[in-house]
Amino acid sequence: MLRRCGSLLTGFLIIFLFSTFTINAQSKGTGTISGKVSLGGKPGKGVPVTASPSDNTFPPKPATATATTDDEGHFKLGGLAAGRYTIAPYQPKEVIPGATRWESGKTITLNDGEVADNVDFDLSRGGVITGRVTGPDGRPLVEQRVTVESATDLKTDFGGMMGTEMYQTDDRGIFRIYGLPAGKYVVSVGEEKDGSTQTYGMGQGGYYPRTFHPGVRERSEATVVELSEGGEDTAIDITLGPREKTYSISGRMVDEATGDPAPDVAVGYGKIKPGETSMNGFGSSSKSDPQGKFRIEGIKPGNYAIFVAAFGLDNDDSKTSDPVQVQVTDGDIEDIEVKVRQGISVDGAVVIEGNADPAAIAKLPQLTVSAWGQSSGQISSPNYRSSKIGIDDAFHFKGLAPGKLGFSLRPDGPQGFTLLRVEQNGSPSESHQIDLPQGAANVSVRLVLAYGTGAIRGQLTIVGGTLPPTARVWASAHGNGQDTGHSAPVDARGHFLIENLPAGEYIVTVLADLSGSGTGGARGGASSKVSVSNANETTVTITLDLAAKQPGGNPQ
Amino acid sequence: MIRRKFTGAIIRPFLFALILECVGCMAAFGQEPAATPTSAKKPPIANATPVQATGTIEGSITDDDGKPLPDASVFVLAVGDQKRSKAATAAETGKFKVLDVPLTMYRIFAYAPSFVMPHDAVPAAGEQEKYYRPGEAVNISLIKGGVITGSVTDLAGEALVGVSVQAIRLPAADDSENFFALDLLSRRRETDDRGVFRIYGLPAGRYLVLAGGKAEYSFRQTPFDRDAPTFYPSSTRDTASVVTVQSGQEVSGTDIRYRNEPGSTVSGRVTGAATKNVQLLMTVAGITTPISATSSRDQDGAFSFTGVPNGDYKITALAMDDSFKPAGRGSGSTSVKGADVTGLSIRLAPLASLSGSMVRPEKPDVNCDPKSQASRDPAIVSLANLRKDDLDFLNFGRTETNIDPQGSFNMTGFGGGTFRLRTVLPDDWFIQSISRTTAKPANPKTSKPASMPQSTPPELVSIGNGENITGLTLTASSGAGSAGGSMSGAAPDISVPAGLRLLLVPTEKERTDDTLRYGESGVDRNGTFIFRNLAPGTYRLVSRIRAVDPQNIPRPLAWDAKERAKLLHDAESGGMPLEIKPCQKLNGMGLILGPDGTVKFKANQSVN
Repeated sequence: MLRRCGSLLTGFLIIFLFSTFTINAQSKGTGTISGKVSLGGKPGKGVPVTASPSDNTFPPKPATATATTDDEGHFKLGGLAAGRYTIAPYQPKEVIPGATRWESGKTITLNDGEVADNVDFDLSRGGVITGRVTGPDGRPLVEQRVTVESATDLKTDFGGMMGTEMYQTDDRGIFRIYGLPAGKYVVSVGEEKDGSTQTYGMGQGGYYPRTFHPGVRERSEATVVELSEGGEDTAIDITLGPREKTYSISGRMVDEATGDPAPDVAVGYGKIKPGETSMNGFGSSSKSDPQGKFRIEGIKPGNYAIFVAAFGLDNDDSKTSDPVQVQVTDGDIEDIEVKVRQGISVDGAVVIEGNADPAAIAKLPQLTVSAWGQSSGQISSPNYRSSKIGIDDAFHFKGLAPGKLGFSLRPDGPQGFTLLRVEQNGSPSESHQIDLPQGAANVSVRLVLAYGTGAIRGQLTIVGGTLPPTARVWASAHGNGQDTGHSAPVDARGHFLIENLPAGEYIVTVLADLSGSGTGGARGGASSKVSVSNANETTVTITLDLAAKQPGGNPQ
Repeated sequence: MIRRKFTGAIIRPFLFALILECVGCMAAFGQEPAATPTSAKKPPIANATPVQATGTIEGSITDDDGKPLPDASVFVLAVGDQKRSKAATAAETGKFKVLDVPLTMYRIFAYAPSFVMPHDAVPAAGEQEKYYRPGEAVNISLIKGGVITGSVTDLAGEALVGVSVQAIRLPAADDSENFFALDLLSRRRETDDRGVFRIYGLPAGRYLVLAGGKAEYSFRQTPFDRDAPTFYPSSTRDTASVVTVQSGQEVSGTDIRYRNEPGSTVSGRVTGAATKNVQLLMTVAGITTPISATSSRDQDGAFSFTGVPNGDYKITALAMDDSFKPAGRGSGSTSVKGADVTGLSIRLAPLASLSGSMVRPEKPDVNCDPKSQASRDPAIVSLANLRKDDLDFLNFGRTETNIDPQGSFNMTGFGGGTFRLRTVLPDDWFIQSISRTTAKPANPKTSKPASMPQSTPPELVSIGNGENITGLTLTASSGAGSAGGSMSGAAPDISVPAGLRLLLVPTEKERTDDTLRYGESGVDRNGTFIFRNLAPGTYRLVSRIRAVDPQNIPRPLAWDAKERAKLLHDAESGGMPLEIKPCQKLNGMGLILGPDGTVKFKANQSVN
């Protein structure tokens, strides 16, 4: 809870990224999804199976249909309207193959009245790791977050949004984590010394450094927990040492021109890793006080930048600054002076290309334009703004630092809009990114949108092998290299549906992340050219050859 | 994980934990406060000599045995200036220090996992909150919360894994604690792989324990989401068993046999002043803890509650603007009888405001302690809602602001209602009078000059939704005194009865109809009481036992003309005379409590 602030902005971005798809899967239909649940090869009877709208809206919608498996493990989910669903058996004690922290089942893109069979799940027995976390004085440590990581694969990430609660110690310091696949694990609590988990703005009392079972600071010295399938490893206790000290950074915000105090300016700070010029993780403390003074508490030793935080929710802050670097070693830092000046304003105009539907034009003021980028200079600070489009089809940002600024449409608004181009001084910019020159007071930008509700319905055929159950496959459509693309997941049967496309020529690309962890690894891909007209569906078949050496394949 | 944090910051504004989150997110985004005094831009009065603009709040957090709680956090909420609110974590010694806080008044919450705030920090219904000033020692002893543990099994006896179990606190029967601070705390925990749950950190009290239904704001999809909750031991709410837990006590064996009964869905739309970022809470009569919560984030204001059992419900909705400032409020009611309820419409009304000023006499007639800085202490004005079920969950149940150095105050962003106007003043001030000037309203449509019939007590304020009352003038005088002490039973078996109130009745003829001159105080469980900010004069002390009203916060008895007449009669016939001289701090009064709730002075005590 104390680490919240630093990741808030990231939180926003992630939500926007994950809420791109809206398919109305709420109404009743005639589609059916059926399959079998087995546990270690034996029928899983009496297991609830749910079909939930897989539209990544936030918060997630409740299940559309629920069924319970019969004595043979069969289930049948009926009455489903066309749409994209996540099908998941509810067996939190067991391991669902391919489940990630974001998804616990299989995605099925269902056509109107379609019957999808053989959506099968073969679960394996989950194991339990339980233990107790105590402080240096033997006192139980309550509500400490426990991290369980694979001892062999550093990328494996447990403790996501599913069942977060069990990753916390209770009032006795006890944790009990269940549903784990068999494997070798290291178990730890506490925060990284390098500040990747920073107690932004609090933590004056210090922090518990990351400590592995049974009570060691080095990962290499951790006792590896070997968990068998369905096994229970008890007494995985962790004894923490004393807390590490944290420090404060204090100073003043002053007007660059007059030297007067700059009150009510949001104070941002971020950590700079050695050898890097941008901040990895940043937060903001409260605003400067009437004397321009600020104080940031709970800072771990390291290299920091202090700057005027230009990424708040309120876009009324017109000020910016160059980041001031601060080295925190073993004491509080005082008398930091941050020179505050008027930031750059951006005036944006929004147009729809072509003969736009009046209904589409009417929806424009419901769209939100987001802009983010990094400032230029020795140390770059984050620029972030978002604003609704006004009824005059315009938007305004202010207080930005010189540097790059990229634009996008927030996906939670009305559907069917695509950002085609971002134009500065009459010419399109690369990657929807413009320059905010040093010394500029005002920059004009034009966002050219397209509107359309065409769709591409596709079928992926796999040759040269089979996909592992953990594979994640995505299809995306790019039109003439102008837009940033539309994408959709490819379901367990190879079906996909890319929606809200303006009319035009598209290249559809399928990419498979064979590692399943979303962290890279082996990839395969194939693509095909498709022509889409507005409000119509175009079908496409794509073949992915897993035996091919290079991902890709040429447009057919 | 990240998503969870994000929602936490926005859509759980009514849990205690939320206080923590809100401080954090406000800090993160450096937001404007919910209420900005209109005169905040005026220069401070004392600009001839530089004033110390900030101070320090420090203290310690211990458990009830006095042992330091190193994992405690402290939330220092600046009255009327939320953007100056700060949070701190304690050191391993349990000590904390918050530097550079503006010199205003603060409410301070301490939090340590599995502990709860002590009773004396949670005032009884109708009693004043404790406020701190920078420099004042803040020593808070947290109490170890109670634990309710048990298991959830299906009707076949199989353990149910990952079902959400909630403990809902029933309001105290005797008004002895603040309904809002404690009862809005609902605690949820999921069952583990053995079907076992453990809910800890519970304030002592009576609880309903229920399993199933959608855990609000959980992302986990479970087959129990659309179920009607099963109440311990295996029943509906009407026939549920109450689980009583004491501080530090562990109540085990709270085993629930899950009924697996479908609940209904209640859906509709919010309309009116604001329709996005709307939080909705569902409550039932007699329980202030919401039994269900949901949110509407769409522009079109659609909402739905799932897993609702049969019954009658009130739904309270509160909207926030893009900066998460309160923007509108409304409520509706519904009745569920075995079927979904659709098309419910809840109209959100704009919020209300109240502004005015506090004036002091040009020359203070009395200066209690010329050396003391006390008279420079900030003053607070607040509105206490007189309805228990009027949830104002975004303001943590309080509407309050500080009075700026020019004497102005402005409270904004609260829902309409009937309130008691209260003040927190420097020790030697008292409120001489409250008047409502008939200034021309700024906006004749929504602003109305304060006016009231003569018989209305001046502290009683009724404001409609969207109404902006201006021109309220509080006149303060100096030379106030105070009277406090403690009582003990006349016999060993006499303890402080529920609802006991002490009243100070003015005896000077010209004051007997001035409700501001009456004092009314509750008595702590340990028998202590205090009347602050008293006008100098002669009084008589009487006692009353007041019945608990499940819907309303007790209004001062003196507000009612008939009660006032009775009080005067009782005061003359049997009241204990008391004189408060200017600036007199009368501490250590000793009272003897009779079996019928009457009080008298201890023998040999001189109070004048």
